[in-house]
Amino acid sequence: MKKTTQSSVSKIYSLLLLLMIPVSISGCATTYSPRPLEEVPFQERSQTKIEGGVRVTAVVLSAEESEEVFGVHLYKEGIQPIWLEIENRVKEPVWFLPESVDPDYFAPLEAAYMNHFTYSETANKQMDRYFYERGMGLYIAPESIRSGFVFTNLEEGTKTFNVDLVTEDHRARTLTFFIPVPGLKVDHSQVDWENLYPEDAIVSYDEEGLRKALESLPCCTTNKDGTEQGDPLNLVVIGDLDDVYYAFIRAGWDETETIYSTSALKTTISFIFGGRYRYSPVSALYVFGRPQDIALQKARETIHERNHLRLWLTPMRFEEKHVWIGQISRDIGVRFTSKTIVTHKIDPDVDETRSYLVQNLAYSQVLAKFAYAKGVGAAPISEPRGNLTGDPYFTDGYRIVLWVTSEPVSLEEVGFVRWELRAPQLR
Amino acid sequence: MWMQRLALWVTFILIVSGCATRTYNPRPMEEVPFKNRAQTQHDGGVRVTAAVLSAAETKDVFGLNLYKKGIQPIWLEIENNEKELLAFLPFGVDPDYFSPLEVAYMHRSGFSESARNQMDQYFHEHSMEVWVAPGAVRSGFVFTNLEEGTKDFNVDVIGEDHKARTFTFFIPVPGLRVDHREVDFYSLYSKNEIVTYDEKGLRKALEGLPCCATNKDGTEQGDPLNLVIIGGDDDLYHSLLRSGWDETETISDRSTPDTKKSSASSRRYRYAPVSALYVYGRPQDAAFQKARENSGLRTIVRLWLAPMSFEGKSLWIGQISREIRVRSLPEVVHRINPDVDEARTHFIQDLWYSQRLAKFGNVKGVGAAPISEPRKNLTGDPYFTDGYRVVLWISSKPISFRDVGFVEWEKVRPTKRR
Repeated sequence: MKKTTQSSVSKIYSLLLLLMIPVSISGCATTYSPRPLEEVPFQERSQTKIEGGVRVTAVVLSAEESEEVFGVHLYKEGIQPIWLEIENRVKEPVWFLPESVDPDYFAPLEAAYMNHFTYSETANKQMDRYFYERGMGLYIAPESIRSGFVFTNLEEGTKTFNVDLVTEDHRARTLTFFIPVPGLKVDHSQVDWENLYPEDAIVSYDEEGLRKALESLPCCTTNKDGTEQGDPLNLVVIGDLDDVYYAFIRAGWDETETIYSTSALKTTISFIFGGRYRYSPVSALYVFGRPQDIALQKARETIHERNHLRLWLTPMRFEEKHVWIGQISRDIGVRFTSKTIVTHKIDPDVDETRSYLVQNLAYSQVLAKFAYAKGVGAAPISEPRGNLTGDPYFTDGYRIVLWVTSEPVSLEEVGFVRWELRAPQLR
Repeated sequence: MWMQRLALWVTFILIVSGCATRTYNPRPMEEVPFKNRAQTQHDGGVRVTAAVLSAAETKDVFGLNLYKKGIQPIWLEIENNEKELLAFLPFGVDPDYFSPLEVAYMHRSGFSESARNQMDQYFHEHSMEVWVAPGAVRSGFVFTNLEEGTKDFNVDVIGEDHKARTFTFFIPVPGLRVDHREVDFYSLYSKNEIVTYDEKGLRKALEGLPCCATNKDGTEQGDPLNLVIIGGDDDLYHSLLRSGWDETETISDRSTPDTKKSSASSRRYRYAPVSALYVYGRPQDAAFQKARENSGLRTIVRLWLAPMSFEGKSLWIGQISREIRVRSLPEVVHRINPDVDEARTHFIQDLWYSQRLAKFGNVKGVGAAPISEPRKNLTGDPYFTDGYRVVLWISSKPISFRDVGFVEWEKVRPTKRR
C-alpha cells in the first residue's frame, strides 16, 4: 500500500517536472524580490521591555508581513519570523540565546532552503544571503543596538516566548513576551467581558464562603435549553483574565477559533484526513444559559486526540480575583452517534484528565495552589453517567480549584489547600 | 497518506457494521519476563523500579501492537517507606503521555463489545496510580510516546512536605542496533597511548588536532571538527539524551532500506544511519541526531573518542552540522547548512538549557573560511566558519542556567553580517 502510493506519487512528480522544463526554458526565470524592510509597517505593533540596562523590542510577523518581508510564503512551511531589536546600554557584552525563543528554531539558511525556488540558482543565492544577513546576531557589543529575525515554529492566536540574555558575569535576564498574531478569529475576543454581569450581581467571598459557593454550583454543563445534563463541571480557575490566559498559553494550550466558514472548512478537512488543526472550533456547552466564554485545546497528532477545556466567568470574586467554572475532557477518538452522526469520544476517566491538568500547570510553573471541592457528585466506574452525546464517564465527584498566576512558581512551591482530601484508592 | 486513511475509514465502517468478533487475551503478567531488565533507584525512603517494554513484550503483556501506534509502556514500581503520602506525576515521565483508556480505545477495532470492555478494564487496572500511601508499594504502567535506542525519562515523586524527588532513568530498549553500543571503547586505545594534559597543554593539544574529518583513505578533507567534549564515562550519552538527541542506528543491511523509506516512517527517520566520516583512521564512534518532523531537516553530531585525558575525564573530538534533505530524484541527497558556526552555537545552547553544561571555551584549530571564500566538504557542499572549535565540559548532574562557566581562551565575538 505504502509502496504503490509512493511510486505513483513520484511518477506524478516526474511528470510535473517534465511539464515544467519547457516552461522554464521558455524564459520565466524566477527572481527573488522581497520588499524593503522599511516599506512593511510591522514595527507599529512592536512591544518593548527593559531589564537591567537592556532593551528588547519584539514583533511577531503575520502571514502577509512575512511574505512581503521575505518574498516567500514562510507560514506555509510552518515558519514564523520574530523581529527583535536589542539595545545593550551596559558596559559589557550581552549574548542573546535564540533557543530561549524557540528550542526548535530554524537557522536562517534552513528557513531560506525550505523556500528555495525549483529552477533559479541566482535567486536562491540571493535568498540565502538575504536570510543570513537578516538573521539575529547573538553578540551585542557594549552600548550598541542590534536587530534581526529569529525563525520560529508557527503559532497562531497568541505567541508567547522568552528572550534570554546573558552577560559575561553570568547574569541572566529573561524577558517574557506575549504577542497576539493577526489572522485568527479567537473565541474569547468576541466576548463582551464588561457587560457579562451587572455590578450588583458580583459577590465577593471569604475562603469558607468560596468553598460553599463552589460546592453549590451546578454539577454539569447542559444543552442550550438547560433540559439535559452534559459533561461535569470539574474545574474552577481563580485568576483575572490575563492570568488565566497567560497560565494556559504558557502551559502549551492553544486558543480556539469561532465558528465561521473558513474554520468550519479547516475542521472538516482535518476531521476526514486526520490533520492537526490546532485552533479548531469546539461545540458549545451551556452554563448560566450561555455557551463557554473561552475554549482552549491541546492537540496531539490528530484532531481526534486532543484535550479540551471550556471556561465560563462566574459572578464570584475571591480576594478580588475572578472565579471561573469549567470543564475538561480528553478526546480519544471518533465515534458514531444517532444524534450528531459523528462525534469525538471522551476518555471516561475524567478524573485522570483533571489530574493531567494539575500537573501540566504545575510543571509550567503557573500554578500557585490548588484544592478539591465537592459539587460534581460521584459516579463510580460501575455506574457511569452520560454526557450530552451519550459518552459514559466516571468520577470521584470532586472539582479541582486552581489558583493560577503569571509569576513563576516552582514545582515544590505549589500550595495545597486542605478542603477535601482525596484518599488513595485501590483499583 | 489520505488513501491509507480512507482505507482505514472503510475498514472501520465495515467493522462497525457487525463483524467484530475478536476476543481479548493478554498474557498473564508473570509469564512475560520483562522485569528481568528493570532498573532500581533509591532516594531516602523511596524506591523506584522501572522497566521499558520492548515491542514484543508489549504485544505479550497487552495482547496488542502498541508500538505500531507509537505507544511505549513503562512499568513502574514505587515503594514508599516515608511517613507521608507521596504523589507520582506521570507528566514528568512524558508530558504527552497517553491515558490508559485512550490506549484501549485506539485499539478497539475488530474486538467484540465484551472484549472491548475487558480491554478497558485491563488497561485501567494496570495503569500506575498517582498516590502511594506510607508503607505501600504500588506498581503499574505509564503509556509514553515511543522512543527507540535508549529511553531516558524522569520519575518525579512529590510528598506532602512539598519535596520533589527526581529519579532519572536511562534504559536501553531492545530492538534497535545503536552505533555506539557496537564499539568496544576499552580496546580502542592501550593504556600508554592515552596522554594526560594540564589546562595549558590541553589547549595546545586541541589546537593541534586535525582541522577536519576525512574520507576513508585520509586523502580528502571533509567537514570541520568544530567541537570537543570533555566528560566522564556516561556523561556523554546521558547529557545528549537528556538534551533531546536521538541515537543512530548502525549501518547494516537492515537499516539501509529504512533510510530510503524514511519519508514514509518519520519514527524510523529519527534514528536513521548517518554517513561515515573518518578521524584516527576510523569512522565515528557515535553519532547523535535531532530530526525535525516532515521538514527534512536534521542536525547531526559525530564523535570520536580521543587518546587524551583531562582531570580524569575522557575527551571526544567531534563535528556538528545541520543537514537538509534534498529530493533530487531518484535519490535522496543531504546537504549541510553552510553556516556551520550556527550549528555549533545551537549545540552549546542545547546543553546549556538542558542543564548539562558545566563550562565551555573556544580554541583555534579549524582555520577560518569567510563567507566570501567558503571551503568544501567531501560531498562538495560549501561551508564558512570563524575557524574556532568549542570545548564543552559536560555533566550528568544538572547545572543551573546561571552556573555555567566560561574558560577564557579565545573570545568569539561575531558582530557584522553585512
